[in-house]
Amino acid sequence: MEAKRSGMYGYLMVIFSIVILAWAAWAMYNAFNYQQQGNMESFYFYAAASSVAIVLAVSSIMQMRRRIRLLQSLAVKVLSVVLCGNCGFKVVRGFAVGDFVYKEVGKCQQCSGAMRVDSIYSEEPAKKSRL
Amino acid sequence: MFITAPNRSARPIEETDLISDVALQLAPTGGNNVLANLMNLFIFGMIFASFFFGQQIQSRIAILQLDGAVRKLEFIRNDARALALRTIKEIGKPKDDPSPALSGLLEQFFISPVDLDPAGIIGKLDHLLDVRDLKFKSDVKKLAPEATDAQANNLENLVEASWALNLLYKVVRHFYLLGKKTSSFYVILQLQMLLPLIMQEAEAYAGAAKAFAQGQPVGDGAGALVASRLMRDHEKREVDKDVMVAETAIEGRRVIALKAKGPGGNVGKPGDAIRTLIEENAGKVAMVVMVDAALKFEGEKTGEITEGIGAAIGGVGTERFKIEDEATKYKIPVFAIIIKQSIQEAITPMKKEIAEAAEGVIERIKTLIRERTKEGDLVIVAGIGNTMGIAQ
Repeated sequence: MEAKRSGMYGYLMVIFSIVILAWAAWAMYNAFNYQQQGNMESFYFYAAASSVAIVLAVSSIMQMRRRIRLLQSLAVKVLSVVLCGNCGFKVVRGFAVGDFVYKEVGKCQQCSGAMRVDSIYSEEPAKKSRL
Repeated sequence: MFITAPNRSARPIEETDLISDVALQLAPTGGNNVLANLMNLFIFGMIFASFFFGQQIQSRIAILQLDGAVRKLEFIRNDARALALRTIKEIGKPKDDPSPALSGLLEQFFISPVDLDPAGIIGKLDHLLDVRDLKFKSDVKKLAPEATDAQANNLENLVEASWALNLLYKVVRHFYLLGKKTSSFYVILQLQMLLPLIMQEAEAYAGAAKAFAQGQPVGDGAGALVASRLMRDHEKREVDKDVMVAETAIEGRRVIALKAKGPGGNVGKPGDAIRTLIEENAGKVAMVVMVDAALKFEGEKTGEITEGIGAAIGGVGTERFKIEDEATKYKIPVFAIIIKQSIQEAITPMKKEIAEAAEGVIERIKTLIRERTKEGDLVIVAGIGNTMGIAQ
């Protein structure tokens, strides 16, 4: 329920930012037109309004970015590494409730030796490399 | 923001316009421009407001921000409590509704011994902590009668995380309401300044609650993981309250490794265990090596291994006191190896870098043993930390 609400909020924020940004672009275009026509009063009005709208849209987008980063940090995967003590056959799978380090979880597919959970750790989603 | 729309001000100049222009004398350009006058009036008003009511405006903004933070903390607190309740019902299968008893547990408090006369305070504190620990454990066991020992330990950790969140929420709400009630700018400002750190801590506790509910190893368990690697496939025994030991050999030296009893969430009493081991061996211990998770500075790498001198163990200090006391009595050198991590990483699921650091720590222990002891010596290696999700 909370996740749904959070997703809805995100979409609304994006739509709001896009609408405001589009209006700001239109207002800025008008401002330049008025400046060329010599109508300075309208130029100041539209330039100021457009600047305020751009600041508002950029701040919404930045807030969205922070939210996405937070959601990414919450989407951490916890993995269990299962290892065969006999032949070293290794399986990495998602953590299952009840797993603990050195828990015996069955027989090895290759040598029928005992498979044990060797380590449990969390891994963050891979970050995109910056050029 | 603007009262007049563009192009609508083209009306005959009225007397009032001229009066306002003359009276204000604010428009450097276009003296009879209504819009310019309004803007100037607005700017003048803003300067006036910020000059005389700046603090009140800042207080209002801070109160708004604090209001949001208090609501968020309340949500996190309720979420953790609901998670604890759900887990107790799933694992413990209680016959009665555990909700009132859980609420009672979350409101529990601890009174530290009086420190006006500090002589003997460690013993008093240790005793009170034992009483608290026993009571907490038995209360959780009552809440979840069908939970195994390991599960009960995990539940205890989960309830403790919920307790910490409850306390954090209540303290923040207290200062927020106090600031609002007294309109004290400085109370509000102090809380606002600390807010990012408080929220970070609350989010870490929320993450910890999830890890504890599932029994996942946390970053603080790095020391326990190292000890468990040394203890693997060796005969184990319980040496003291909730502390397991196993004897192994490294480079011709006898090594006794110890850690809290896992895989349930537990820190044990390693101070008592080290004291017992030293007494058992009549003080003939060449070296004590303590491995623990430690807080890193911002900018430092998670999982970095560092060596030092002294007893590496957190908590209120009772366990450290016992180790230092015993080591001083027999002149035993105490070395510390720490695995660096942030406070958030210490109580949330163990990161890959921390888990991988365990092998590096074992190499450091071997080097330390090779350099500082001779063959046949006895070395104690203590893996400190919460052993949740780590058996021995």
